Amino acid sequence: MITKTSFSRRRFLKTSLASIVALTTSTGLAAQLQLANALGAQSSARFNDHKAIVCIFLYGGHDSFNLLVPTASGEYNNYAQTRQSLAIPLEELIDLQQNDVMHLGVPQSADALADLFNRGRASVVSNMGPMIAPATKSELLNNTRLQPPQLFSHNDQQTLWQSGLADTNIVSGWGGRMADLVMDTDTSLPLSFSLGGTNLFQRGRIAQQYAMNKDGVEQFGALNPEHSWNDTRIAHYLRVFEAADDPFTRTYAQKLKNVRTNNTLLNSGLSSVANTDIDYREAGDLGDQLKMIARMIEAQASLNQPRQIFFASLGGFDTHDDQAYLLPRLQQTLSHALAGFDADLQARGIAQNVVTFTQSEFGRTLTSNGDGTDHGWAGHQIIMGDAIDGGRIFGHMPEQVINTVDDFGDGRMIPTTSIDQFGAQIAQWFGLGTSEINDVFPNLNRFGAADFSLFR
Amino acid sequence: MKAIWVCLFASMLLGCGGGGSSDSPSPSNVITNPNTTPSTTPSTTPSTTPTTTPTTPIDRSTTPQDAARLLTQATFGPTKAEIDAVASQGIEMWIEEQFDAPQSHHRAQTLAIFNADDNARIENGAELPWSGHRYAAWSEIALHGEDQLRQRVAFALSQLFVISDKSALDNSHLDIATYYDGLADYAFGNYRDLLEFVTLSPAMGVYLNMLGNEKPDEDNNIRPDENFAREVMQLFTIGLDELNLDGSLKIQNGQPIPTYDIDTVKAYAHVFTGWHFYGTTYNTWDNWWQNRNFRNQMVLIPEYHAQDVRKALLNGVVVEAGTDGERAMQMALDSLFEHPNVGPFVARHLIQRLVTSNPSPDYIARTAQVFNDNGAGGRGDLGAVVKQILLDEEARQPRADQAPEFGKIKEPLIRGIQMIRAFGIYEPNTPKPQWYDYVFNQSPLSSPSVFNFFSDSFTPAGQLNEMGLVAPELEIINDTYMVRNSNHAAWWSIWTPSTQEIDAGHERAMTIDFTPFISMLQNDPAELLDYLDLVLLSGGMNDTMREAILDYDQVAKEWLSDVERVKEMTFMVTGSPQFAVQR
Repeated sequence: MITKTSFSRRRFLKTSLASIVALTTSTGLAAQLQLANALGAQSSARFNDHKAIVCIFLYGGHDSFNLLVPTASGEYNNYAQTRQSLAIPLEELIDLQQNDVMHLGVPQSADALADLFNRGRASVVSNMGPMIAPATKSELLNNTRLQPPQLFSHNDQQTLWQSGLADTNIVSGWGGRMADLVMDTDTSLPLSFSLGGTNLFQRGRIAQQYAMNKDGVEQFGALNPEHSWNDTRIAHYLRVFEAADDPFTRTYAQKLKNVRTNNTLLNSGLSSVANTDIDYREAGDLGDQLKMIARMIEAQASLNQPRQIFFASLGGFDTHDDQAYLLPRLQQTLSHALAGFDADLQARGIAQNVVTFTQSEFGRTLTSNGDGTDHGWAGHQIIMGDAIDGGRIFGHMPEQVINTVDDFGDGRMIPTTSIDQFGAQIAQWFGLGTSEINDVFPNLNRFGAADFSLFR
Repeated sequence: MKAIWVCLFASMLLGCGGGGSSDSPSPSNVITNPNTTPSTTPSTTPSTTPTTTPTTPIDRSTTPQDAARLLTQATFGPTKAEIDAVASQGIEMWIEEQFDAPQSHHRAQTLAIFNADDNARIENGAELPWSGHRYAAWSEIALHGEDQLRQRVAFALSQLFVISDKSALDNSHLDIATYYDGLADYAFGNYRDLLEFVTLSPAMGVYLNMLGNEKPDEDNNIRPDENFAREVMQLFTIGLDELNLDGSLKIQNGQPIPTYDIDTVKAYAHVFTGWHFYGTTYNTWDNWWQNRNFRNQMVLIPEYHAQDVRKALLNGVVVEAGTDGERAMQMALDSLFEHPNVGPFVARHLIQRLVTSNPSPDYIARTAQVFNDNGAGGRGDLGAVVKQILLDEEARQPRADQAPEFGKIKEPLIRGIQMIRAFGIYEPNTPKPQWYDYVFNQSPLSSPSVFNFFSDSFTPAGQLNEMGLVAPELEIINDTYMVRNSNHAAWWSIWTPSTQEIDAGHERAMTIDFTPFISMLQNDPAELLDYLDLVLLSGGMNDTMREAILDYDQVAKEWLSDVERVKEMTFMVTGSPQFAVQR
């Protein structure tokens, strides 16, 4: 039966990294680690500095064109004419100080973001999205094969953003493929941690993600190895694990075993790292995710993890309805979370090691459905950190007018920067070499280098 | 530490505190009904499907193991009594009886639990039920409802026609329960009726924005909202790509064939305009809250419908300009219903929720065939489809004949309920509100998005991926929830007080009478283990696992009492990876 899974398996088997003998689960982890050893040097030997990247995924499709609003009178009037009831009043916009593109402002609710930007802590990559290859509007309209598959479908576009490959049959993410290349082989502890749910972004061909919650690592009760009264129970329980004799039970047992091992490692790594007093100003669950991430990054040394990849998420951006009420609140949460996280990292003395960026499955239509917007294509993303050239707008900033060369239809904007180009620069900062970067982003050579550098 | 634990988890599943003492229980492991029984006025809609001439199902007894396997697929968990009943009467007769079992009602049950909750109503001044009341109603029905099969199918349908309280519906729990009752109404009915119910449901209208959707207004750059139009195709009926009868993708020039494009979405979006709460008029269209009515299906206000637009739908169906909105709606629903994808699309979903994550193409094809024609020319007969799924050779094959790729990871919420149903429950008091997200990462009609709790094509790295197998449920059982599920099993198996240990001053909503299990153990520990094997693992425990658990009991009996030995043995099964899997 040909399924999407089958397709991805065939592609998987063809790629250079994947000419692997089938792995049996009983030796699964050891075999996987041996393979990783063959792929690249262990990160603890390879790197003598510490770096971490943090991906914040905005689920639902963020109307980021209503985060960066033109403020010069001609451009503002065009924007207001296009957006109608969803246009933000001019007097409510806070100026972004930059000379890269047209004058822009952000809404009051995102004042913390404006502050980060104007202090040079954060920048914006504009009009970005999944692309098969660079293409003009007429080329796209004349040749559907240049359009990424299943545009405007939430789960497919989430896949394209997280995989970094404009092909929905891929089952690995660009963060995961980076982890494949730098993961340590003599530990079972992944270097990828998710506070924002199971995701494709951190999934490598071999590298796994470790799910944590905002309170840290979940503690076993009856199977807690730290209490000797559990020893006999645990000993026999492990024999029950070994009795597993079908693929599903073996998979579950293996995962449970890994959890036991990794929990112990993480508990000891985190034990020396405290919470700070930084006020994330009601950044809600996203703020809590980032707080724990900050602790985990500070624990890099005690965990012996010179490289880490984190995933956080914020949902609710699918503002088909009631956008004027919902979107400012979401943008405020995001802004406060970013500002709190930046301050937290600086207080811990680790801000130079961290790059944080947003992704979202699409921007939204410039036209409305009355009180909301529908699924679009290109959107703007935020990138933050000491190493970033802050206070910049990178890439082309389209005017908010429909029926232009930037408009695919109904105000769904055609991207002018690809995810490949964006991710490749982050991968380079992270410490990957050129051929490694091309392995993570196999389609990169279709685009050429971006005409900007995100990093100072 | 233990005391804190007990209280923490008790508040999840039992409800600590509150007044009143429990009555002295009668020693029995028979499942008792909750104190308040909802009135059961079945609201079935006349089906338009021609049905097969009813014949007396063949009375065919079966093994206890297969009976247990069937009950694991078709209910919220086997009990010894039901295993014996199914084993003697046969599966087909059991299914027929289930078709006629009186229906449980979520809305009434939610209200009953809320009305009995002084803490919510009086101390907290709640005027409407909380989510916890609805979740507790759901679990009461799952634990005690006679209509197990209908409710299990309704739960599966709630993961196809998804709405969620993680949305604008976050304070509308009675209304969500009404929607759930509707899904249960149609569980054995006709898919076309179910699709219409869902489409015109005001709860769905709010969730996917069809309610209040307006025709275009070009002067203001307003087009109709596309959310429902897209998701009704992608998630509820046909999916993204054209399918063969066996669920495989049709391929053209090496590529799958998309079922629709953006223009199709727009066309349906134009059909789905002009609908609002029952009782709305042209003049009150914008008075959203004044018109609030979640009991009746939505109605059309023609002035807001995009009547003058020609809409090219699927399958060459065209709604010509000038067609009235109600006629256009029927044409649109028919066009979805008649699409050849629906059979395999629905078949695969139901099989995945009930039986196995990776059905063979033939199993899907046999099931889709029944969807297309129930044997009497009727299309969309869900009762026939459910019966086919459960009686199919792939579902019924004995363990020895099962392929390695057969089976599935149990949904965490269902596994939790199974564990409790297996033991019999004593309930001295009305259930308290319950919240399940913390332990199970899922609650009924509370998924993070319209994409349900997990993706039907999720495959974890490792052996399953290598074998090309999906295991959707593992997407929500991550490192955190692996531990919480294990702890929940431990709490329930080891630390739940038995009726013998009950503290009269400490109110408990549920507890277990361990008396029969203690006698089994005293007779022979293997006898207790056999019981656990049958009821929890459908007889699938292998010798290695059996030896490990009996060895543990031999060692542990040096320092444990009999009731403690029973609990430890229980945990060795309920906390095992084997119990997490259904085969």
